[in-house]
Formats: sequence, structure tokens, C-alpha cells
Amino acid sequence: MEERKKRIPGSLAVLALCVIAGLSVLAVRLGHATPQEDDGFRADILSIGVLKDYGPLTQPKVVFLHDKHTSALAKLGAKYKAQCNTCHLKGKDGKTGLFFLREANPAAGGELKKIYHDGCIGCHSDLAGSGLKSGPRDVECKRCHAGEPVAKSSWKPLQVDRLLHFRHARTQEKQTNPCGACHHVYDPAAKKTAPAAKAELVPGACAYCHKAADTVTKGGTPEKVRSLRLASHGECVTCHVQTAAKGAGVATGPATCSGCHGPLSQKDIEAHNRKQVPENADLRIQRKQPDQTLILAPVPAASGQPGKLFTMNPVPFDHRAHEARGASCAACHHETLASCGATCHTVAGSKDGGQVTLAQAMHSPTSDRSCVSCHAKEQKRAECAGCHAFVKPAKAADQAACAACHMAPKPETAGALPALAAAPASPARDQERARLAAQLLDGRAMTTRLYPVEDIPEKVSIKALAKDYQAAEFPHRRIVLGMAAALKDNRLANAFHTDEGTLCRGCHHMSPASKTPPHCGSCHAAAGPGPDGRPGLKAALHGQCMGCHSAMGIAGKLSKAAPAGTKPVPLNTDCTGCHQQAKK
Amino acid sequence: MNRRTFLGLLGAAGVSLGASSASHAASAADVKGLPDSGAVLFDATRCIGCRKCEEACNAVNELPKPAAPFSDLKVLDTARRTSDAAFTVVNTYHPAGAQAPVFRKIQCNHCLEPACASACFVKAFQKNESGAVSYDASVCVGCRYCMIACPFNIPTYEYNEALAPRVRKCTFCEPRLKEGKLPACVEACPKEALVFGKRREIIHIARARIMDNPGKYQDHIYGEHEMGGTAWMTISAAPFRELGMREDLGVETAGSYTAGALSAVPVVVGMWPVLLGGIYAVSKRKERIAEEEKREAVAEAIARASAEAEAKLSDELGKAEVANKRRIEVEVKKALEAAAQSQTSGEDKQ
Repeated sequence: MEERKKRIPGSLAVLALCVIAGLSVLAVRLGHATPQEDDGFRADILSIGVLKDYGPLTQPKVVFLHDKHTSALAKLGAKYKAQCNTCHLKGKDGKTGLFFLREANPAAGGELKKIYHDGCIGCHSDLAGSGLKSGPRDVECKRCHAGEPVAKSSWKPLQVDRLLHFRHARTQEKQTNPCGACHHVYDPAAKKTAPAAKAELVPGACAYCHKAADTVTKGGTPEKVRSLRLASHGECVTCHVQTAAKGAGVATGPATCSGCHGPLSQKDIEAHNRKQVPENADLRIQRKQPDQTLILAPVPAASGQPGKLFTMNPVPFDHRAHEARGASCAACHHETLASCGATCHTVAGSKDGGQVTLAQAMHSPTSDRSCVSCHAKEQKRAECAGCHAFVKPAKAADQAACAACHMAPKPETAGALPALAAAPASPARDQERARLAAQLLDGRAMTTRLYPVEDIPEKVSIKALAKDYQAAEFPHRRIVLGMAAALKDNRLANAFHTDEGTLCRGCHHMSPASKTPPHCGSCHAAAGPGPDGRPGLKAALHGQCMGCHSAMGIAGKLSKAAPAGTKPVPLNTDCTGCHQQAKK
Repeated sequence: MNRRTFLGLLGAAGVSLGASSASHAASAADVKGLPDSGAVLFDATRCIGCRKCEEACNAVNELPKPAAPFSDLKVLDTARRTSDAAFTVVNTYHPAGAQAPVFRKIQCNHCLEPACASACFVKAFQKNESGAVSYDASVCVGCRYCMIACPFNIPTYEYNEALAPRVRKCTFCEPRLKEGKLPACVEACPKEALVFGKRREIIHIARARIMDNPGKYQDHIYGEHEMGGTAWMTISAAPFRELGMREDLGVETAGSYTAGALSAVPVVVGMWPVLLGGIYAVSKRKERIAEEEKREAVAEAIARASAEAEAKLSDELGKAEVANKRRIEVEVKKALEAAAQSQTSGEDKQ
């Protein structure tokens, strides 16, 4: 018993020492948890897990920081003489491959593991042998196989928009074949890619052929197409590196991960690109595309009804004006530069188009590349949202909404349309369509129309519910004219607000446009909400006014165009801002 | 007690429990038997945080005026909860990605199967036809189990009241409902963020709003099924948890969690004493009788045995005495013969 009593304090002391030691180790580890360089955001984090194609992984994926390695090697001069080819070997065709120390993945997983271990650990050991700071070596498995990176990834995908395209095209201006430097076509005879001979032969964006993963189509031309990632890095980065090799002062693009992919946001990248481009440069990607064209559904002429076209009125489309709206052609031409309705989005739908009919492709409110959805996105902007937050999307029966795009052809040309619709693609057909479209578009008024000023009431006194508060004196004319002035230069608004009463219907809704729209109280009961869920008069007035202020974000603000002495827009909670307290 | 009896008792207890009627908690769109119960829909996209609802509730319930007037909107910057002087409060929330703050009105949700009613053992809470969950202060004992039970943390207590403290919460303006008027807060709201109607109609209105405005609202009516359904429901553009609303409540009513166990209480308290006591008493009596009979049999056996022994003893004694006498006689005869012998032989020698 005596002996046991003596042992207890001793073992407690040992336990305490172990706890302290353990905690201090933990503290040290936590203290080193944040990376030493930058603020913990990196764009070059690669997660190497290729062995998962060979079976379940036995170690977590390797966290590899690419820029860290290229910059470290660059400092070593002699080691890095071969630059990218230190790790990425040159293939038989002299092109730098994108795999690490191999041309392709070997058959056995063990072999692949050996390539990585020998390559990485070998290099690390070499450098350590020369007395330099180096990466993890043998027995430090988890230093590489960390699974999750410590730093956060700030990698952003790069979009080649018109700005970036302009900057690249400018470098090839003097060449005989400027497009061919980057854009290639597949030559089935030679079984390899060849530069596109001229602009009209350019297939379009890289993503049209190079998908997210390597694609293999049996009997396709070509059979194997490498992924967009491999294609873009293989073409872009190697070109940048080769250009840089030409000399110290030669302007070239980035060759590091963060140079293209971050940490700047897309807005910053756009601003940076814009700085490199003259103020009034023509950013249009030239491919001999039409300025205007007629979108005419390719419906075959009905038998027994020659000269009659059973389809909606054609849509004259200002292609040039729309080109300036998207980031690049791929914003609308998402699979190919060919016409939408030629083979994919036919009137009845086809397998190539994912069974999406032409009408759906043009009008789908949820896709991000249909006409209607893009216009709907524009309506969310602050200057539009005041009315359009409440306007329900047009239903099929709303004739006026269709007419803004589907314009009735001029009577003298109407007869030629059936033949034009059925005609196969040809330069002559395209020219004819452009001519007809120009005819219709030139005659179109592109201004937001309003009723004559004297017909727009100057002040409206809203007094139907005045009880605790006096009537609200609403500066009706000033607001209407102010909104119209704000939309003066908005082409989309001008294209659609074609009727005098259209703008009025933003507030005077659910009734035909008129100089004398019905009183709000004729549909919204003063007593309270209706059985179909329509708000009562108080909620309708408050909802309309406050809703517009909130949607436009103007509550509490004052417009720059307002005359001096105007009060700012009242906050939603500022009751007396709109109507004075009732006198007792 | 022997093992057999014990097992028998266990078996009887189990079977009697099974015979008790299981009580179900209802889970339906309407409370069973209350088809016209009222409900209110709160639309979080319409509330502007003006506190007119708080002001109206304060006036109608004759609650003490708060320190800061209702026009003071700075109050919304701190998260508040209901109190004994405020049956309803409006809080501000800043959901991720939202440009403007969102406001939410907090009050009793008047559940279809209230947890407070389930927890209250004196039946102070009652779900009424009007939809209101009413509170009867005259039977309340002040245990405050209702405050613990409420999943929304609504009931409050008059801690400062020394003699007759009450539990305080929204009453759904039952007196006004009886007169055909709207609850005070619903009438006061300038934006119609609150809409009153029958529960089915309110659910239809909420669904219609969600469908007519694709992408605007969360596709869920909070309170339609939560805790078995509540009378006050909410629709919102931001996810409900960003408005401080619990999303982990499930669709079971609070009462259903305890209904099974509670339905066993009458059996345990009423039947078990009688049944098990009876079985115990019977088995004990059986034991006692068996004990007695055993004792009697033993005593009889002993008595018989001792009587036998007695008889045998006297038998043997008698036999022994006779044998003894005979031996004595034999010895006497022998001695006499010996003596006679010696006499005759002596005479010869002369």
C-alpha cells in the first residue's frame, strides 16, 4: 500500500508533462497552419490524383503548387535551362506535352506511381544534396499527400472575351493568315490539324470541339480530341513561353497559373484588358458575318399552299448591335457558329439540338443563351427593375409582346419569303436575308414613346384611404419623364417600349394601355385582400411604390437629374415622407 | 419469490401494457374537427420593418408602453425575443447575398398540436376553433414547462409579478376574431405582409405566390408541416435559417414524442397495482397454504414415528425384562445345581 501511494504522484507528473508537450506540439502546428507567402489565396493549386483511374487511392491526393515550383526552378537558372521541359517532356513532334515526365499514362498504376515518386522525390533529393532548400523527400509522405490544401484556391476560369481576342488578334495583324495562328481545322487527309486558311473557315471558339474531358469518337474526324484544359494550356502557355524566349523586351502573355487564373476577379481582368486596348478600338471579331439578318424559320412550303408560309413573322435581327453585348460569339453560339435553326434547333426539334425546338431556343426564359432570357436579365438592372420587378413575363396570348420582334414583312417582299425560308444555305440567301432585315430595321422607330406631355397628369392626389394620414401628393409627370429620360439611350428599352402607353403599363398594369387608365381602387378593394390573393388597396399602393423604390435601390437617394429643392425618395419606413400626418 | 413467479409477473405486466389503447397525435392539414381554423401568412419579402404590427398589438392588448417608441427603428438592430410586454417583435436579418436587410415578425405560431398544450399538465393551453392557442391563467400553476416545451421559444413569464404571474404570449386576438375583425397586427400592416384566412386558403395563397414568382421565393412554406403544422406560416426569399428560423424541427408534433409513453401511465398507475398485486397475493397465499400443509404433514409424521418408537421401546424393554428374569432363573438354577453337586461329592470322600 505504501508503494502504491508513492507511485501516484509520480505517474501524475509524467501525465502532466505529456499533456503539456502534446498541446505545445499542436500549438506549433496550428501556428504554422497559415502559409508563409501571400495571404492564403493561390491560383496554382493542383490536386494530383491520377492513380484513382487504376483503383482506389491508398493515400490522399497530392497537393501540388505549380507556380511555387516554376518560380523556385527559375531562380536556379542552370537547373531550369529547359524551362517547362524540365518536367513536361517534348513529344516526338517537338511539342511540349502536358503530362509529368511521360508522354501518356502507362498501363500499370505502379509504374505511374514510380514515375511520380522518382521524378518528384528524386529532384527534391538532388537539390537537397546540393545544399538547397527543397521539397519533401522519402518518409515524408503526408507532406505531399496532404489531401486538402492549406491555402484557399482563388482559381478563376479564364474566358476569352472580345477584349482578350482583340489583344491577341493585334499581335497577328501583319501576318498573311492572322487567324491561323490560333484557330485550326482538322484535315482528315493529313490526319492532323492545320491552321484555318481564312477568317470564314475558322470553326469558332476552342470549346466547340475541345470539351471538358478528352473525347474519343469512333470513326469521327478526328477520333481523339483532347480536353479544353490540355488544349488551351498546350497552345496558349507554350506560345507565351516561346514568345518570351524571343527576347527580354517582347510582350507576351502569362506563363504562370496566377497570371491567367487569378487572384484577380473577372472584373479586374476585364479592366486590365481594357487598359491595354485603345479607347475606341473596334473589338468586333471579324469573320465576314452579316451586320443584320432575317431570322426566318426553315419551314418547308406546305403542299397545295404555295406562296403561304405557316410560321410566325420573321425576326429582323441586328447582329452587329448584339455582338457588342455578349462576352464573345460563344455567348449565343454555344456549340457552333452555324445558324441556330440549320441542323440543331429545327422548328420541330432534332437530336442534334437536344430536342430543343427553335421556338424554345429563342424564347426559353431559363436558359442563359436564349433571346428572351438575356433580355429578362437586362430587365433586372436598377433602371428597369422598378417596373419590371412587377411585370409578369408575357404569356403566349399577349400579341403585342410578340410584335416587338416578329415584324410583319413589307407587302412587296412577303411573297418571296416562303422560297427564302425553304432555300438551303448559300451566300446569296444570306445576302437576301440581310437586305430584307435591313429594310425592316431601318424603318423601325427606336425611341421610348410617351403620350403627349399635356396628357400626363402633373400631380396625382392619392386620397382614397386618407384617415390617419392626409392624401399623398404624387409628382406623377416628373417621375414619368424622369424615367423616360433615363431610358433615352437604352437600345433594348427603345426597341420594346414602342407604344405610347407601354411605359405607363409599368404601374397601370393589368389593363390595356390608355390615356385614362382605371383607378387603382376599381380592382384593389379598400377593405382588404381579394380572394384570388390580389392585395387590398392600401397594400397595392404601398407595394407598388415601395416595391419600385426597393427594386431600383433609390430609397433615401436623390436623382442627379432632379430639379433643385427636390426631396430625396422617402425610405420605406418614412411614412410622412409621402403623406403628411392627418390633422387632429 | 421464486423465479417462476417473477417471470409470471413480468409477463402479466407486459401483456397488460399491450392491451392499453395507443393514443395518436394528429398530423393533417387541418386539425381534426377544426376545419375553419384561422391562419396567417407572413411574407418576408413584403415586410419593411416599420413596427406598426408591434404598435397595434401593444394597443389592443393594453400592454405597457416600451422604453423606446415604436417609431424608433434602431431597436431592430438588436435581436429581440417576445417578452411579457411584447407579444410580437420584429427582427432584422442580413441573409448572405441579399442587397437589403430582411425583416421577420416573431409571435406565437399557434401550432395545430401545440407543444405547450402537450406539456401542460393542468390543461391551461387549448387549441380553439378559431385557430388560436389560448391560455387560461386561472388554472396555471406557474411551472413554466410550456416555456421549455415550445420549439419556437415563444411563451414568456411575468417574473416581475409577485402574486399572480402569468405566462404571456400572442392570443391571435381571439376577441377580435369572434367579432369578425382581423388580428390587430394583420390589420395594421401597410404592406399586407400578413394575410389572414382559413388555413387551407392561406396555404393556397402561399403556393400561388411561390408559383407566380418563379425564383423569387424559397419553394417551401415554413409552418405547413413543421412540428405537425402551425397556423402562422412564413414564405421568404432567403433561406429560412438565415432568418433565424429553425429548420431541424421535423414534422412530428411535440405531443407525438410522448404520446406512446404517456398512454402507458393509466395502465401502470391503475391496472398494475391491482393486477400484479392480485397475482402476488394469490401466489403468496398458495405458498402459505403449501407451507402449512407441509408443516402438518411433518408433525404427523413425527408423531407417528415417535409413537411407533415408543411401542417398540416398551416391547423391547418387556422382552428384555423377560429375558433378564429367565437368565436370572437359569443362573439361580445353575447355582443351585452346582451347590447340590458339591454337597454330594463331599460326602463321597469320607
